[in-house]
Amino acid sequence: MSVKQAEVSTTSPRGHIGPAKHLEREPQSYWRLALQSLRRDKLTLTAMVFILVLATLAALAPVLTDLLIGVGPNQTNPDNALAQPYLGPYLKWHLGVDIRTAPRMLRESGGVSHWLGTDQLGRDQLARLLYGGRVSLTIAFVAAFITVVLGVTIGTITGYFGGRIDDLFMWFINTMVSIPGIYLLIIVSAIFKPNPITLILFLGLLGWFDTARLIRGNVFKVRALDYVMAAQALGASATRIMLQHVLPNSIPIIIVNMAIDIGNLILVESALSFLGLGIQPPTATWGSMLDRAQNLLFLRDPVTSAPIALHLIIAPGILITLTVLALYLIGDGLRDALDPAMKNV
Amino acid sequence: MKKFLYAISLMVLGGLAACSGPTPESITEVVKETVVVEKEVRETVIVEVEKEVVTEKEVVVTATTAPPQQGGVFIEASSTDASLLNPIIYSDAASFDVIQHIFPALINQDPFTGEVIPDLAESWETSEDGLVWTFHLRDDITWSDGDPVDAQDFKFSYEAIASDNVDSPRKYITDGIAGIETPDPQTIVVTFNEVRCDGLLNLGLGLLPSHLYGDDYSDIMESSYNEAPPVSAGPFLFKSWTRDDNVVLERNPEYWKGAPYLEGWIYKVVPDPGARLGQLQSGEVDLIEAQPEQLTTIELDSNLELFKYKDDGYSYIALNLANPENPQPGQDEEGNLVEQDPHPILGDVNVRKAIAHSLDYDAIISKVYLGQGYRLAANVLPAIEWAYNTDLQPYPYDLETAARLLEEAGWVDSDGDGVREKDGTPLSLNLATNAGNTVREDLGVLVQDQLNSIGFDITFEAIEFGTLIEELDNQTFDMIIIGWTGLGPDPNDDAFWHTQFDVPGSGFNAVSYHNPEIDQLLEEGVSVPDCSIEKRTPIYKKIQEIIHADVPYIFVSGTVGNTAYNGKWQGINPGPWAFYHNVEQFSLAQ
Amino acid sequence: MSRYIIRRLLQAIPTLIGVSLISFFLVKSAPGDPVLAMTYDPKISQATRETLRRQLGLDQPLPVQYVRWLTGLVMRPGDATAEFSDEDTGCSYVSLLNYTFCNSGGGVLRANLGTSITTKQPVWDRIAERIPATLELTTTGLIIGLLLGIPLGVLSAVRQGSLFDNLVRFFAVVGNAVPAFWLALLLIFLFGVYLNWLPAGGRRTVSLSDEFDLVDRLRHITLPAMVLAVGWVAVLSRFMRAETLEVLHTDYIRTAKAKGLLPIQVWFIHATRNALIPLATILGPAITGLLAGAVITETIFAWPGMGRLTFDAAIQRDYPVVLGTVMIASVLVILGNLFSDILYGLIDPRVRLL
Repeated sequence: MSVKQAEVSTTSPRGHIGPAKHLEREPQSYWRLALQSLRRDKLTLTAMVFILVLATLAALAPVLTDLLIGVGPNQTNPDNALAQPYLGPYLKWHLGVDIRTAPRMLRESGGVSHWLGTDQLGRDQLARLLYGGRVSLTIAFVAAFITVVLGVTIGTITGYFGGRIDDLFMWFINTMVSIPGIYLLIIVSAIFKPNPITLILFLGLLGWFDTARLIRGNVFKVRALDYVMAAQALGASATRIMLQHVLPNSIPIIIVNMAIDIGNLILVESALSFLGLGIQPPTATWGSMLDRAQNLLFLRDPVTSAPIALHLIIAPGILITLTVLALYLIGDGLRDALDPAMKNV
Repeated sequence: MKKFLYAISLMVLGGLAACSGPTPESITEVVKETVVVEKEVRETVIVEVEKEVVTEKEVVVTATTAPPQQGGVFIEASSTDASLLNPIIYSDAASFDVIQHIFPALINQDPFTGEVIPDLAESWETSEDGLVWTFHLRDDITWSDGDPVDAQDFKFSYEAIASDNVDSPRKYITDGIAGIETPDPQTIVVTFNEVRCDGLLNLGLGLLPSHLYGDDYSDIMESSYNEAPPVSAGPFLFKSWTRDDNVVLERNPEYWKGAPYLEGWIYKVVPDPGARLGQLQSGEVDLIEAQPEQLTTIELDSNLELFKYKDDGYSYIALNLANPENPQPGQDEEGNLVEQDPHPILGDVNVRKAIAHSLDYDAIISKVYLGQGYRLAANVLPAIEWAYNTDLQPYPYDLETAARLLEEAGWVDSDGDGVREKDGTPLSLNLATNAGNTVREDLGVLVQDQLNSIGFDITFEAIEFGTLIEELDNQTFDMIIIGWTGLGPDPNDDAFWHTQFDVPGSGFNAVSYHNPEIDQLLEEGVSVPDCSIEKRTPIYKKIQEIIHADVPYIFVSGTVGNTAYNGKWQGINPGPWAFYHNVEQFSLAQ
Repeated sequence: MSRYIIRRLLQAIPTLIGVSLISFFLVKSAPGDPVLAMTYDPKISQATRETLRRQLGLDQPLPVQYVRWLTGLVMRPGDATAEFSDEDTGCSYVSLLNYTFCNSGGGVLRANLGTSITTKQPVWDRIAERIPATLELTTTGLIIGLLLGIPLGVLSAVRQGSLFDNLVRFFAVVGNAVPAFWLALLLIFLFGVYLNWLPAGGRRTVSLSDEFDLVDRLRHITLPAMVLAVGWVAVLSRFMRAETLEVLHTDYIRTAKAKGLLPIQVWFIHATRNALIPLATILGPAITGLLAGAVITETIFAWPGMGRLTFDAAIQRDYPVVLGTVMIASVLVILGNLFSDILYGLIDPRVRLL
């Protein structure tokens, strides 16, 4: 036995007996376990990376559009309306497969590379997708945040205090939940024609019910636990109890739900914008871009008879699908990591 | 397992990069010139073809000369469904599209000039003072159940409008009528309260079959006939109505102008404009109102015909001549003019002229309206031929003149911030339009840009329609982009200019335009005793001159309609005021 | 059981009242003047507008309008009995509130949802004539979803880990994430525009005759039903997979396998039956979704159903119709949840309905 080992075994405060420290595993906290589990889940990690990349691209939209394209998302150019995506011909040009189409397109668009084509007013698709992504993502994230804050607050309050307050809020929640969500959203949007800020408020105000009920349920469970009653007997304040005991138990489910909520909100906002009720033009969002594209579905190129608006329909839809998919996968992955009992085997 | 999913999602993400859409052979050219076909001036007059009696006839047919064959169903696609098939209480255009084929009317509009022409009434005279009109009716028109269409139907329909038991938006018509007499079934005597030359067309509503209703008009509002008209005196009989889907009409063999060759006419609801075009091209429908971006596709399709016409509407920017902080009515209770508190910026006619010179109208018409528009100099549309002042030139796009006018008016950019000031007040204005109308929104952005480039500081926002018209009505706005439609074939628009209609909260003279000369001319023009065109024309030409010089509105563009229809039909001969005026002559080309 | 039902129904009453309050005041707080928006025509005089406003009752304060809409009682201040009662209307004066209540029939409580502003039809008629179309579409979508989703989910669980399982799971997640309206657009484009095999919208081809052409109707319902079915398949396959997996690991299944029963017997007779039980919890919301869930699909495919009616009415500010559809939809949601709970209680003997 070296001196060091002897030191370890005799000087450790806990009178340590057992394998040497460097062979010992650290006590695993709940979060540690979760993180480890997550690190092994490649799919969820990919999804998270995707969302991060998307958010960064969207945030950097002004810079990127200047660098890559040269025009803004709202600059119209009717002479170059419904131009096909430049990306394909560009690749073919540099691969030597087709050296004529790309330069011609470049000439016709006045030197601007419209990587994903243009819409019916000649506005660049890629720029609009980036800017639109900013709008859509911001709305979804902020609204989801609002629903979480509202849901947790109200759920905790009604669950803890019970009685009349609980009755009142539950009545209100039951009422709102009885109206089909899509009806409520359509009616509210048709009447008030929201801008991005008011839309965020609407979505936030109409989305907290499930979270509140969930938290309330958790509060009930926790309230009945012995150690909570003990804490109350010891004089712990309501806030302290809720923060220390109720919330930590609920955080996993809140996080999981939030990821899925963000996904849902993106779908909802794009559906509303598609119907003409959400964000109004000229602000681009992925949904409103599809709305305009819908009118162009039937237009065909007069010479080739090929449908000319295909690129307008595919890109925004794929982006929405991938973003929502990533968010759902993150939600699933988080659920797997954070609650082993909830695992999808 | 998870690895597999991972692999697939990577493939999907990677696949995006390769996706680039079809490589086109050529790129669509967008038609950007302002192509507006003037409506053809007809020399020949269309005379109703009566099949029973062989009289001298001159039938104008635009297509082949093969004899018409029986059969065929003509299908029109519309964005919205009709609401009510009752000619006196309907209020939407879609309902009218169906009503026009069923209910008879006393008088009609010439499809090409908009003037009043005989229909049920063969002829009419007026009294000396212009207040009493006597109409002589044809005696050969019957409802499909045999009952004759006569003076009683007219009296019943109009008295119903005035009745308390009926909610009609047309009470303003009967308010101006003192009395209706029917001395015999073929004569109607209408006495007006005052001479109103635009009142004659008000007598051209579709008429109800009076023999099917109770005398006290109480069974009109809730009647099942509003959804299923049982009888018809028009070219088609009502067959069925599936709400939000289609209205089906069948040939009326008893139609007095002659039984239609068509077997039926269907009004189909197709809300999506793209789908309407698709169905037109596939032959599922025969007629649509085309959107500007669809015109290229239609023009290149050899199976389709396009009818362009100048519609009875225009879009404009309303300039509030009065101070929005202090809206006042134009007249007080006794009818005396109330002095208006002028708008600090727009009250100066030179500023308004400067605005008129600052807009690049050609760019607007080609970019925003995709070429489907035309310049207007004043308030009367060229579709009203006899009153349109052809001598006036619309304000040209001339930034130098605009700048000079502003400078002379005292608006100078003294601090170099790009915005002009005068006595310390910046040249700042609010511009608004209704959200959801993409054309107007695009227009707003362009106008804002163009005015800001010359030293204005314009703040533009698209707001909800209800709020917008409240602002307009209450006169708390600076500039609003909006439009008028359905102005009708009479040039009288006193509601927009007369001081008596400057009433914050309800009047349509929302710009607070005050000009005693205009007031007088408007009153004159509409009360010419026999409403003869020769007497009215100079009055309206003068009105247009003054309006043009005073710039209460910036006239942006007249609306252009585009009706696209299937070329397989012959006999179609549309005018700007009516497409179906000779529907009984439509037939399938051989 | 009946006590449970009655209790639930009684609990539904305050909820429905809440729905009526919230939706009424929401709809009425719209900005702008509805009468002006309806009659924005210079030829219509202000007097006409005021008459219209009076007739629609829009000149009264909101609570009075609410009472009128809900109960059919018109409230007038003070004692106006003499003025307003006649043989159709009975009035009575309530001195405590200093209001006269005149009863002329109608009101939501008497199953009269009012009159549509745009078409002047009774609101109930407008809604009722649209219900069959919506039911036709959503039921078809649900049936296809069930027929495809349940077997896919079960099989996926049975062959856990296989390529089949992974494919099903992948498409399920994607199916949930795809925006329904985009899927609809793609389908319209592919089958309607490009291939021109199926019509792009509507319920049937219009023609002079009224005959029921089955092939034509089937062609029209295919695309919208497919869009709805995708959502169902995604949800149901995941659900059934999870449930089946749970069941498969239970003792009694192991026993059945040990007993030597054929796989088919094990999977489809024992496992599925037990896995189907929790399906009842989905069916309740599914049934309510039958009426409300197809709004977007109906709008894109121009399907004349109830969802599209709500959308059109909201755009046109036809308040009676909007309020009517909301009330009816809410009633159905509540009934659907009740039905689902009852079903669950009946099927699963472990659950006791209190």
